[in-house]
Amino acid sequence: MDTQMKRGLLDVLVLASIKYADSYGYQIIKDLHPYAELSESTLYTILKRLEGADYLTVRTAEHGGRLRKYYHITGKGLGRIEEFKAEWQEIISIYGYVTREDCGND
Amino acid sequence: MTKQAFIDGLRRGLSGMPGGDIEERITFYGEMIDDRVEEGLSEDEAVAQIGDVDSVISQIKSEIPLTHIVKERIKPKRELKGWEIALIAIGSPVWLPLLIALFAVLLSVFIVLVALAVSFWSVAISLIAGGITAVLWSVFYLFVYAGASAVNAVCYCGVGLAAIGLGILAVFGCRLFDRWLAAVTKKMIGWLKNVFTGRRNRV
Repeated sequence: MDTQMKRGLLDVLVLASIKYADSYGYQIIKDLHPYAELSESTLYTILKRLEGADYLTVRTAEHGGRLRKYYHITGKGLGRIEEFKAEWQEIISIYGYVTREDCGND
Repeated sequence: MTKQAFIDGLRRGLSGMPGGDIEERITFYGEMIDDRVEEGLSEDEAVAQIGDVDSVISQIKSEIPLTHIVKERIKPKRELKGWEIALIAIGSPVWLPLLIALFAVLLSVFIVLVALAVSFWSVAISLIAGGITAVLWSVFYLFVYAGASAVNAVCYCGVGLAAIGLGILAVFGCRLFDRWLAAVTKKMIGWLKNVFTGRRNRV
């Protein structure tokens, strides 16, 4: 898959994993496991990129006697998911045209 | 491997990388190990799931852009004193041309390699185009020229086919060279990253 496209997909996938509730690194990896095999390093890079773009915020909270970082989606992040859905509709219609069957219009 | 050994290895391998980023990454990995342990894995198993420390380091290095590393490397770690700035300014006629020369040499090597790739492709395409022309010419020669010799026509055709064959072989060679060039470029960037991160390890 094209690198740029893959990066965009992974970004939205990570945003989708925190769409309904805040989450933390390991939980995100587990939630996304059926859809994408993310390494810790890749997830870290994606989270930093999303934070830099104001798509998510990070807070540190105590958990079981230690600190854990939780990721929270922002309004801009939710907007990115909506944007992705609109873009994807365009891609689906292009895909439909590319894979259309020959109806014998002659 | 214990969590501490993993973290220590990571810290050693990443020293020289952009400052604030190292500690943040290390905390991130530490958290990942703790979460796995909390789920019931032993510390060894949790670390093993994250992966071998050397491959984790090289993956992290490959994900950080070279420009970030260079910027971090040349950024002074404390505010420079007046005399230090003066010394750098006075020394600039020496170190600046050397630095420019180093980058110019690297850039030249890269340009030469790209030029070689372009030349190889030109040879391959010329062979194929020349071959096709020779084959077409042999047909034209045989049927249009009065008193054309069949031997000559066959000769033109044969030379043309041989050139096309060589051209096709050359295309495979060019593709191999392109792949090699891509690998060398990747290695060159990796080497530059190590130059900039490795030097600080020794300080």
